[in-house]
Amino acid sequence: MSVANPGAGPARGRASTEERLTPLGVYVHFPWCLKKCPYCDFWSIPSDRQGLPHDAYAAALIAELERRAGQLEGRRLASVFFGGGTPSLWQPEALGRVLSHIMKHFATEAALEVTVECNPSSFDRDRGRALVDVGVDRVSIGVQSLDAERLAFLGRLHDADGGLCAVSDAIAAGVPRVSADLIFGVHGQSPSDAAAEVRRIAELGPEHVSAYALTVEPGTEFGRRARQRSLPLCPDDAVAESFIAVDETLVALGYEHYEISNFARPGGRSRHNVGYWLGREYLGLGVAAWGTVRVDDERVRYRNTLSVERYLGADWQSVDLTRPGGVVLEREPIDAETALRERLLLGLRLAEGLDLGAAAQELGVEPWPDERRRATARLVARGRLEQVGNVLRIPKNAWLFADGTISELM
Amino acid sequence: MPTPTDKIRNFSIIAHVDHGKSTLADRILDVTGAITAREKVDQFLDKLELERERGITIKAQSVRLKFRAADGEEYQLQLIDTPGHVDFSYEVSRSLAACEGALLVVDATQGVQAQTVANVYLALDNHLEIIPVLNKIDLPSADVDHAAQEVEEVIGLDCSGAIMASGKSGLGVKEILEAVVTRIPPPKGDPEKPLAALIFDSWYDSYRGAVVMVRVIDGVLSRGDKIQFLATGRTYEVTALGCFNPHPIALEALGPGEVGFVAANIKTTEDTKIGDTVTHAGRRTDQALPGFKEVKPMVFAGVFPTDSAEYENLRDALSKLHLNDSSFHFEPDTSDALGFGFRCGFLGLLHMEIIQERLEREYNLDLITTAPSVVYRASKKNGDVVMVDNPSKMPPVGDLDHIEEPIMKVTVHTPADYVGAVVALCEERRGVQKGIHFAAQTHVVVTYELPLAEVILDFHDRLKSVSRGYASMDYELLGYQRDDLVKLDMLLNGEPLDALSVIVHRANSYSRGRALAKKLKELVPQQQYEVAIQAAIGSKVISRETVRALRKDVTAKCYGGDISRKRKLLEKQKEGKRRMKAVGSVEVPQEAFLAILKLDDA
Repeated sequence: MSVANPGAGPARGRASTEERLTPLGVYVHFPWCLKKCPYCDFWSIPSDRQGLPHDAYAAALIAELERRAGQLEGRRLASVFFGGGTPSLWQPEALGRVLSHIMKHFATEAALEVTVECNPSSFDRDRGRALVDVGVDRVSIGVQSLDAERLAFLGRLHDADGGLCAVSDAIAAGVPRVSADLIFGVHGQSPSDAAAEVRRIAELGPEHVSAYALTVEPGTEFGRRARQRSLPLCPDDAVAESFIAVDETLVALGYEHYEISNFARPGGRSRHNVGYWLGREYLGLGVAAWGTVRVDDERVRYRNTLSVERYLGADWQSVDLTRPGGVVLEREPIDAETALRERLLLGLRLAEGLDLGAAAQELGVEPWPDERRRATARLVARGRLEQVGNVLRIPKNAWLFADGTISELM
Repeated sequence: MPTPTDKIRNFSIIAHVDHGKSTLADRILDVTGAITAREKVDQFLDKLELERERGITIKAQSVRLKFRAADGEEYQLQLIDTPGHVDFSYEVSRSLAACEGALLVVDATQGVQAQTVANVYLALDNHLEIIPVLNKIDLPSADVDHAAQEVEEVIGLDCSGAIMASGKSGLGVKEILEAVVTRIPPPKGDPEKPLAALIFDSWYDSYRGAVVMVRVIDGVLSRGDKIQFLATGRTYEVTALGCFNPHPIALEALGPGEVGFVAANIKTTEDTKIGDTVTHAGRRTDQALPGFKEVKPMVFAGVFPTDSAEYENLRDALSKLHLNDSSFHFEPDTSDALGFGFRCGFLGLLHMEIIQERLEREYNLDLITTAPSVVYRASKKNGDVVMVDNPSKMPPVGDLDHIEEPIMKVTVHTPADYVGAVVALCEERRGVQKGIHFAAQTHVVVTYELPLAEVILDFHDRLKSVSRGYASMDYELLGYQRDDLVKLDMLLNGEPLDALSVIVHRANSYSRGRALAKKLKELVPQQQYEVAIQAAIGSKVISRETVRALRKDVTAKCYGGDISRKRKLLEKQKEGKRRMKAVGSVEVPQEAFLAILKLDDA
């Protein structure tokens, strides 16, 4: 397989077999929503269906892609993820145009995964077919809840049936891989409620379920209400029990609990998200998108501007990507030590854990400074961690305390 | 050749913290050409970085200056700098004993403070000529008449000859130096008499060992002399002599009235006691200089590394600090809660804070310091008397007959407006009123007898806060007094937090125990199991709080855009953890151990 890399000059002696290319995920952010959900801390702009700049946005994304992809030789495309916002609001043709440009720029894996996040209020069977037609093979549907009261509390525009229909429509439309998102630990929800909701969704047959404990993030409507102490919250006890109930339910139905909040049937893991947890590079495109890539031997995390006007108006051929301002909102070089701490933070979220030795070797840093060695022994003794050689993993029954465990190892 | 005594003037500067002593000293160095512009770092005399930051002088340093006076003669002026805090009053008294005169520097914007008064009395005890200097007169808020009136009424010093000065602009500095020459008497002393020299400062030099600063009273001290220290009885051979200008200058000899440093291969500052007399080993003076006393630590605290692997480093650091400052004591200590560490003795609370900060800053150590304690005298039923500087070492309740505690005479100077608040504070701290009098129209002196344990428990901070910063204090030890004192223990799941044990008055024990338990509840993070917090006297539990078990500590979502933020959160969480100590199976943050100090409602 050859490297398709227009505009970047000849590939400089890099191996051209798929295995020897570095896997890359591409994240495309679509920043518009019909309505902003009060718990959501992703960047989104409320908009009606009519006002969306479908084609202009696609054109700007393609321009950004051409600029950024030029710096990324020797990558193979493992996954593309259209997130938001609500990318199911986007005209599939426009989305498909961006996708085909992305695929043109990189060698693609045979098992390339292309996911679109879909909201039940902007998804139906036709939309599912249209997405498949442009090359999408996976949709992730934000069902969130199957209870009218909790859906209202979460600010969702759809009802319980809407969520269920969206999942079955996606399957009926022939989308090869379907995932459903659910939020538990909502005020008024018992652990058995959470288990019942997740079971109903699972019975529709999606190969993947993401179940998130409701998290009150600063900078959201819920965050403001929590500060004013006017947000009803579910007690930690009940959230913890719901976490366990959800796990037990889905595992009994044949799902594998492969990451703290993610479940999949065999072969159904989200490759794109697994890429994050394995510390792989991801190219971020679009308004407010985050990316983390190695450019000129430097690992850099960046975030694009939050301004749609600025993004659409940018001259991507000449913009300076190396300093914040203009189209770049933030830029953070990640040194090797920091990268290893991130590998721990991400890798220990996975059921398999992390091969710390391999990660450290790849980054050229010491895997076992004294403090980490001592912390590991301490955590293993307390049953919070398992260690086999250089591989560390958090046993499932200690996932509820993963943050404390990870922080001690960082 | 030593300078003839009639051309020598030895003087020091008495001032309250912040009244501009160091700035004024720098201007004096300036005017006499002692420091070049290039070297002119503000406050040259405060040698340690820490001192500069706190704006106070901890270790005295003394400088020899040349000054050509109006009479056309050149004089050798010796400025003897003194520490400026109550914890170091003995050192101050010895520095003053090395002088014939002192400048009394009073901030014209603030008037007389307790510390100043205490030091003026020390100076008067040493028969010093005192020259009042009203400083900062160029500030808009300066009230020269009021400040002068206070000096006259509160201290009883004639202010008609007071010099108006500004350390900032250098105004009045020449007049000050003239006054030093004309008003301060030259030292007396006989070069033929046996050597008697007063040690008033010492420090450790890594090349020369312990070095002492001396004032020769009688006789002549030369390089190569065999000398003896009277208090310790040890003999040495003088390897180097000199003075500071402010850089060290080697000299061959020091004559009567002269001040200089002496190096003599002395191993540690343990052997160089402030106030000791230096004489010739072969021709001893028959009388020790008056005023010598052994300084004893009054405040004790446990100092523990947060990371037990740092124990050896802590010991090295303490040894190094001790070399320079023998007034600070330390010995190994162990705590069930905190592991291996040291029990340290300090002259006072400020001394403790300074040592603690130097350990953390200069030696880069992360420390947990327990609540400071005084030395209790515990009488057991069998008649034994034990001195207890660590509450956890108090004999069991059943064996105890009674406990005595050190009592201080505390003198507070305050504007009349705050007398009520000051009295209320002293009463609340188990004080016994000894006197209230108006020293000037609006300047009141309040005298109380207070337990030292109450004084070291943020008394000074509280005094400052109830008087909006205006009141100042001074204290001295009166003796021991019996009171109804009990040991209060804090328990976590039944395990005593030995580091948090305190001796308190029985009348305060319930409210104190309750407050401590409440505070600990806020500070002990949720663990994987429930934690019971108890306050107990002996086996009797007087208060209980419960920390419920932690049920979840996990981030639900972590994708591409979350990584930096989550990483920073977890790094912060780790920092917090690093400062945790395991008590039994319960993790307790460092802050919990400091909570006792901060208990406002105790």
